[in-house]
Amino acid sequence: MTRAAFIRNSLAMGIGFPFLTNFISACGRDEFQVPEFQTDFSGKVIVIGAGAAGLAAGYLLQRYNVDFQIIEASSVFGGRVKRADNFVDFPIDLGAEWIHASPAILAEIIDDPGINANIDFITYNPQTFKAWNGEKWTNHNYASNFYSEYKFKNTTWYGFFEKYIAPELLDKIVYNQPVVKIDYSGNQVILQTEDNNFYEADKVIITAPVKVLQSNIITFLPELPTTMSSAINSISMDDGLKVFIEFEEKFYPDLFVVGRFLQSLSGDDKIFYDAAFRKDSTRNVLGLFTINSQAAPYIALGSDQAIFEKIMEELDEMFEGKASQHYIQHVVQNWSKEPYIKGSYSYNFENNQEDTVNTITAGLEDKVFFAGEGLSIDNQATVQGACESGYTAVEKILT
Amino acid sequence: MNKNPIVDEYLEKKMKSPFYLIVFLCFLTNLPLKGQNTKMPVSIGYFAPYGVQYGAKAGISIPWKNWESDRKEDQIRSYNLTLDPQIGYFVFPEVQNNFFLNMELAIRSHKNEKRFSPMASAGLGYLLGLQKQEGSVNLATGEIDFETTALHYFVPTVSLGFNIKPKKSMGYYFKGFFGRKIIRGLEGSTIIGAEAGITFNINQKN
Repeated sequence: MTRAAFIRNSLAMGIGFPFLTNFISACGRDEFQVPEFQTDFSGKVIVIGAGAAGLAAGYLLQRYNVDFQIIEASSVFGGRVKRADNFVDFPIDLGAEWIHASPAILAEIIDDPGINANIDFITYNPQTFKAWNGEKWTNHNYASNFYSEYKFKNTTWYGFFEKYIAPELLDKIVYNQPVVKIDYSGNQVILQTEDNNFYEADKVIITAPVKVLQSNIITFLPELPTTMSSAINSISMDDGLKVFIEFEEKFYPDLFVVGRFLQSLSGDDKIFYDAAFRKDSTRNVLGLFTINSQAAPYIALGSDQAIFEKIMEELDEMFEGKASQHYIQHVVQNWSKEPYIKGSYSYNFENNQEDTVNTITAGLEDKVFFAGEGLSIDNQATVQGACESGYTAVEKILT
Repeated sequence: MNKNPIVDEYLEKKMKSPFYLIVFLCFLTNLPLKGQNTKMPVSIGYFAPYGVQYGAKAGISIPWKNWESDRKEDQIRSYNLTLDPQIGYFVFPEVQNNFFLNMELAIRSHKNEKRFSPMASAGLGYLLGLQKQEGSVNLATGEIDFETTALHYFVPTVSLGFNIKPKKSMGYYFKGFFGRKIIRGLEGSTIIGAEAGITFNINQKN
């Protein structure tokens, strides 16, 4: 059961019990352990993608002194972990933003008892909730009593990777190398990039987003087995959009939705939220997070400017012109438009999730392996899930 | 018995503060003498605001007024109006610890000598919420230090439920409650939930 489904059911029941409350925690966080093992592996590994899963895989390969390289299609590392540094006086997560677990998960990802550092976080427990039905607002502040997560206070997910995971990997990452062909027919796996560069390795970990795999940007030789391609195509990953707008004053609640409140939280999300909530800042930043069918109409508009204007139009209607009146600046992050990402995150599985994930993570002829947020059963669609799957793929290769 | 003025003076000072408490309790326990029912059930309950928070409360029902209605033949219905001071604690896991004092005015009725009685109440409480608004995680150990902020709420509530009166010593109750958490300078929020517990008598003068 998803967290949203659990909340709906709990509310319907009207009464909770301690075990149910433990269960809600379990919906948000599952056991996460960096694998420890013995290995005699002496070959070379190439990781395709320098997102959270790829960086985590590199982090573990480094720990076991394995010869490896990370081939990244874009010019930066992070993937869907991305930061806007100079927008306001605190860094903004343009991609993954919430810590969908206890902040202790950050220590578990790093798994380094020798590290001497702390990270500040906020309890993201908005106090004012509203829903706009097209004509009027309804209050849903009761939600402050059961919805709570965590966010970074002074840094971002990107900042976390930049400081604690990436430093040892920077000289291992090769940028601007979109892989277009993976030949695993021989003893070695040969990768061909868009620029006709070739890379060879004994094992390869593919961490490209599901949507990239589905779009056949990368061809395989031999072709992917039908079971594998069917499994990949059975995971849905659709549009994703984040927009941040700075205003002179805060005229909006901590969190608001358009449409029915609980349905909006649990379905295809479109959530406006105070992005400066409990941050060390006096600036007023409204965030819009929207995915799937809710994001599609915006994405269809094409340009970032058209998307921004549509959102301002909506806000002005909701807040009687205050959006235009107090507007200062904005930033649009259209994830669907990112050529090597193409959407938000894995969302739904046509078939049994565990079977699908097991089919894909079984890999190809013990030479090509897969990782990514969509391939974590316990922490799917989260940064820690991406890291977990990266670690698992490395463990498979080295043991 | 010989009186020792020094001892008397010492006891007078020592007992001063408890004395006021005893006077207050005597006042409370004397209230029911004005009515017919002198039992003062104590209740201990488990309750769950919003379905995902949980806690416990303890209270006492102080009889204020009792009366009977016999509009139907062979069916006398008794009504009890009580003042129910309560103290309790509940938790929103990982987010907020709550302590509260509450006073309810409750009415219960029952037919003849039946133990089942529906009840309704209205209450006003003070709630101290200790909210974990931010914190710091140690990346080596995963240990978390939370910084807590105190929030003060007034909480008017209404409740509907039923009692199974104590037969000898123990009874039960269940009620649903609905109200509003009011906090100065911020928007309030609805509070809703359910409560179940046991009641037992501590004072039987009949």
